Amino acid sequence: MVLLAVLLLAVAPIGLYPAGGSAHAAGNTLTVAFSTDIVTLDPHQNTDLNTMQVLEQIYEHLVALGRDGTFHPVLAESWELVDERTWKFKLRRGVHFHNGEDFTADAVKFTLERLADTKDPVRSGPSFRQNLAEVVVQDPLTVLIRTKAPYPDLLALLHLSGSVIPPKYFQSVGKERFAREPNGTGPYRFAAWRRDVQVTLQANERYWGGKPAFGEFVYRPMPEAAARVAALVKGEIDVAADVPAERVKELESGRNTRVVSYPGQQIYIGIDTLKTGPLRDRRVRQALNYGIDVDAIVRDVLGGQAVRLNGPMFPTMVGYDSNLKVYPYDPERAKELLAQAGYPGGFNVALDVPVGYQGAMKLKDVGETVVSYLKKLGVDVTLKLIEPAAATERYQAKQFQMYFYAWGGDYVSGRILEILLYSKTRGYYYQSPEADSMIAAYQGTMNLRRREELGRTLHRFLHEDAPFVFLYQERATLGLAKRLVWEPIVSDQRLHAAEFRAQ
Amino acid sequence: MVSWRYVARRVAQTALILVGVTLAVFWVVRLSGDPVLLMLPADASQQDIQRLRVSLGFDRPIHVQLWRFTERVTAGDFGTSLRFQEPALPLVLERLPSTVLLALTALSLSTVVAIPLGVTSAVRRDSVWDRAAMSLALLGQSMPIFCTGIVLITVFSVALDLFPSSGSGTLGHLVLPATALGFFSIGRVTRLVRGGMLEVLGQDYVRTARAKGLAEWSVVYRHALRNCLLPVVTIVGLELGSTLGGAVVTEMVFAWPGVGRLIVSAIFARDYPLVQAAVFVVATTFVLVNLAVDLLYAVVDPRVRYG
Repeated sequence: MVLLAVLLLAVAPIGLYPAGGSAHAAGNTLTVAFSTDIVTLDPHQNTDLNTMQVLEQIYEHLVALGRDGTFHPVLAESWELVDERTWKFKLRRGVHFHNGEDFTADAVKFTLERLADTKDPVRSGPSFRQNLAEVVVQDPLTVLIRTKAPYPDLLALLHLSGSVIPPKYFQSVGKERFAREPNGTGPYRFAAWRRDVQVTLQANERYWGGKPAFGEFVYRPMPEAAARVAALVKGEIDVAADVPAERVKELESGRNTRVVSYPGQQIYIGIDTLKTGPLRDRRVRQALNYGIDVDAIVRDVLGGQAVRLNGPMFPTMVGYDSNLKVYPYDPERAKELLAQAGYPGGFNVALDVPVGYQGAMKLKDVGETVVSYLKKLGVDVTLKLIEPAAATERYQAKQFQMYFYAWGGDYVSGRILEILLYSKTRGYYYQSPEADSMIAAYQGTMNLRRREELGRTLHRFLHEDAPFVFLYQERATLGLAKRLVWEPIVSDQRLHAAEFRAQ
Repeated sequence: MVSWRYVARRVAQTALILVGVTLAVFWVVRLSGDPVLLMLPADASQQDIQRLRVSLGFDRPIHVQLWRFTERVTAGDFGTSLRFQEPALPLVLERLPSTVLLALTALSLSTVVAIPLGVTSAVRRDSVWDRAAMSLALLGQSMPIFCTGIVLITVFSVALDLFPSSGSGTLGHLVLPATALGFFSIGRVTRLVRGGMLEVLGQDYVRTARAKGLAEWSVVYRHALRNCLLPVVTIVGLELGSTLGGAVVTEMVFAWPGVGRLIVSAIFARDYPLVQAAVFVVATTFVLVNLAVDLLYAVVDPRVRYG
């Protein structure tokens, strides 16, 4: 008997995957599994992407990004620019919060004022606090939003963080209860949250967009990727987030499963261009870009689950220049540039790798590969593995020489440029007067065509000035049950359960 | 009966240990860095950061923080979880029963398997049973729980469809995680029982019992096993400690809603109050169990009773 047990265990790892399909997740329930439990049910106090997967079903925004890459009406039916700093939104008629409260311009005003409040600041608030000047209710379905300076990214900001909350309900239950008993306008109503077990939402029968196909939405936190894959294969769940690259092929060829992927966060190596040393010279930074074979890294280390970037801008940003070529792998050119800059023998540098930062794939392996490439140029890299929490601190304390960093969530607005490269906002590692004036213009132009031109010039400049070693944009993978009819929206990592249908 | 001085001494020691643990957690958690930076999105300004820091009291000097901390802990208040914005201690306590259930089930399973296995190995020393049992023990001790867990899921859940792959809620959900967790202990306890039995079986009183013509099972179980159980009791008590530790990994793999998962995510998010509350609760549980085991030992073993 003991021997039998031993034998079974020895044989098991030989990829035994199911031939027979087992009972599927209950027909009318859409079950999704992500790696962590949600943190709160208050949409304004949340910056965690996984938590957004639940909040996005309960709360809605004025606008949303469509599959065509433009903003579509949601709670706002139409909008127009009154002047450079004023937007006029006409709101959708006949919308109610889950408890029956009417959705009106007052709700929008209340929502935005809470987000922009400096006395009791909320976590999703920083960009609102920086940019919002005032909100004026013109009539129950018309609202004016005024920004402090011309702000072309307002729609992107509203789409990302502007979840509309009910003023009367919020004021009657207070913020603590509000964070446990949400009440929105979305296609699903909150039913229950059993911590670390699951969040259950019920379809909103009176949803303005029509009742969603699935009557129930269940969110299950499952920390272990292998367990998520197993549950998907067994039919216990319909959507498994963050499928490891090694399992993609197997799920794609599985009887009951398929895989979709869409662009996720950008991984780059930030460079400290300010302190004295070789990194101050743009030629050295370009050499680093030429000297690393990013294609090979994407292919071999990441299993092809990433797309190369030619600069810090995302392909979904206004003005992104797709004709701009990525840095090719050219170690000879790299060595030339190093010699020109006065470092023919290379130099020493430290590279910090925050392992597991924002769930980035295989940062340690990528880091080690980078080290081996740079060694060939004579650049001696000391790899420092650090904890993700330490990464934020060291970043803010300007302690990095070179460091891996990730930027995700917002693939549309110009915020990445502002936060990472604009010296007036941060200026920790890069201060370029030319980049500054271009970024200021880009972030302050309301004219779309002009903004596109500015964007292209800016992107080209940044490509050449190389404040980063440009690497890749990860592909976020989702394992799906074959019965689901759904395709992801590029540049929005949040699922919208109302869009899913069963075959 | 039991020396009250012994009991009093052990209880006092326990209290001191708990004080030490709490203080240690306070210091260590703060030495590793600043939680405020993690709480805010990347585009937070210095003003936002400073505002949050002040509102959470992290701007005060460290000895002030320690004093406030000690004051509140004595009242049972471990502060508010930075992430969940709710009192930390209740968050931990509500998950404790799940972890205890998992750990106790695992420990029971492993003891129930390990004792007969150890006895059989000792009695049939060097036979094929003995070798197989020792191999199993070795396998259990060498395979990381993470690995055992995935293998169990792959075989018994995905391939054979006997159990749910992860999660909680029914008895079926408990089987695989408890097995994964218990498998580790089986090794140690089996070898201990085997060793103890071998020693005892060579004793004179055993030979006497056999000479008296007693049935073999009676000799083995009634006479020999009883006498080698004392160290087993202690070991099982200690195993609870490593089982609680192993529960962290098991809970992650099987999505089991216990304290382990909570601690891991709290640590990554630098959620100080939650980490402190959780470590305190787990340490208390462990220390109390050890106390119970020691007292039990004192009752069972007359040699320990005095002083």
